[in-house]
Amino acid sequence: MSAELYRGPWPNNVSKLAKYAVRFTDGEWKVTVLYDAGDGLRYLAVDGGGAAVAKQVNAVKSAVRDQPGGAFYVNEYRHIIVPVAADPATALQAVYYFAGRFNGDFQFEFERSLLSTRPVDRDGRALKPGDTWIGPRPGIPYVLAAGAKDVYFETAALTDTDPPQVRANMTRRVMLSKVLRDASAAAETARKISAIRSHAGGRFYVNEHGAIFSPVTEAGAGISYIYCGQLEMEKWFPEPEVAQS
Amino acid sequence: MSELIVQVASKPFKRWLGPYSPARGIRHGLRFHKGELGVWSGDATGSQFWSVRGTSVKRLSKVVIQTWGGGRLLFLPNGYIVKPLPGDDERGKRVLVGTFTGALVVENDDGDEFDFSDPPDQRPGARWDGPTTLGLECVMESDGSVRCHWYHPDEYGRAGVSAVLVGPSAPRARSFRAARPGESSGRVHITPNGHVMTNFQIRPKVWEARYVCYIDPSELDDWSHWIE
Repeated sequence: MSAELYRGPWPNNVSKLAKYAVRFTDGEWKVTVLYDAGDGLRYLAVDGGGAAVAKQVNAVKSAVRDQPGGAFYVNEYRHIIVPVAADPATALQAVYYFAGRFNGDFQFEFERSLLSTRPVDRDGRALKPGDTWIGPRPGIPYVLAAGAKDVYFETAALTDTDPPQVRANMTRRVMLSKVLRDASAAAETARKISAIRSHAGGRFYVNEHGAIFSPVTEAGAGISYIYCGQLEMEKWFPEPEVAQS
Repeated sequence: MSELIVQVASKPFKRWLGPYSPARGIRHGLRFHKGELGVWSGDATGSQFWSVRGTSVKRLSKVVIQTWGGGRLLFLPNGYIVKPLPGDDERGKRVLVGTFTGALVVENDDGDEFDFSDPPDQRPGARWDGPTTLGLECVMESDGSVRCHWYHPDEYGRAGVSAVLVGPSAPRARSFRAARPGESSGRVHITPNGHVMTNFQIRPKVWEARYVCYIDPSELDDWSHWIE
C-alpha cells in the first residue's frame, strides 16, 4: 500500500496514556491502551482484539517503516492516524499517516467490567461537565488559548501538493476562530473548556466520540482529568481532507 | 568597513517572511526617538539614546515616519532592513523597507560612538561594550550552528519556522564556550554587521554582554526566497 501523510492535526508529544497502541499479545496483533488504574499503569487489550483496526495500523507501519506494531490515534472525525518515526533531517519526531476510518467502538476489559472511551461512568451513566474522566485517555491534544476565547492546535506544515509533503522546519498554529471565520462560535467552544480549566488556557483532549477532557491540577490531589462536554462539530475545525479508502 | 549606505525599497513594500526575532522590549532594538533612528543603551545608572550615524539613513527615516509614524526596524546581517507593521490587524506581519551596506555606527550626545562593524574587543568572551539589544536573536547550538525561530501570521493562525542560518563550526562553538564558560549552547544576537554577542549570567540576576564571534554575511544563504 502507499501511505499518505495526514493533513489534519498531528498529535505530537502527547503522554503515553493519550494514544492507542497495536501490540502482539497472546499470539495476535491487538489494539491496546495504557490505563492509569490508580495503583499503576496497565496495558488493557480492546475487547475482541480490534483485529481490523490493528490490521489497518500495521499496514501503514509496515509500508512506511517495514515493521508492524506501535502507537496510533483515532481523532474526532474517526480518522485512524499513525505516527511513524521521522527522518532525523526533518527535525520532527514523527510523521503521521492516514490509515482509514474507524467505524467501531473500543471497550476494554478492566476488573471484570468494560471500560469505554465514551463519556460515561462505570455504571454506563452519561458524564456531566465537571465529572472526573475515568475512562482510557487516548485523544488529540488541543490548546485553549490564554484568555479563553479561542482554541488552537499546532502541527507540522505540509505542502498543498498531492500527495502532501512535509515543509521542512515549519510548524503551523491553526486558530479555531480563523478557520470558522466566526470569533463568537470559537468562543462558545472555548467556554466549555474554560468552565473547567479557568481563563488561563491550557491543554485539553478530544477523543473519537467528540468527548472533551482536560487535565486539571487539584490542590493536594495532583492532576485529575475532568470531562468538559461534547464537541459541537459546527463550532469545531472541519474534517480534514483524506484519501478515499 | 565603508560608511553606511541605505537604499529605500520602493512602495508597496514587499512582505518579509524570513528570519525575524529581535529582542523584545519597548526600548530594545533600533527604533525611532524624536525623529531619529537609534538604540537605547545604558547601565544601572540610566540609559541614553544612541543615533545611527550617516546621511543615507535620513531618507529611510523620513519614509518610515511618514508611513507609520516611527516604530522599530531590524537590520539583518545580510543587509535587509525589515519593518514590523504596527496595526492591530497586522500583528506579526513585516515588510522589507530597504537594504544597507557598510558599517552601522551609533553615537550618543556625548560624542561616544560604537561601530557594529568593528567592536573594540573581538576576543571571544571579551566584554561587549556596545548596545546589547540589537540584531537577530538566535540560538547557537553546541556544534556551532546558529538556528533562528520566528513566526508570521497565515490564513488560519500562524506559521512557525525554525531554520539553521549557518551550519556547524568548531571555532564558533569554541568561541561560544569562551563567552559562556560551562555552557555549550544558548541565545546569541547576530548584530547588523555580523558580529555575534551573547549575555552571560555572571552571578544571580547579573548579566554581562560578551563578544562571541564574527559571521561573515557571505556565509548566510540567499534569503530572497523569504520575500513575498
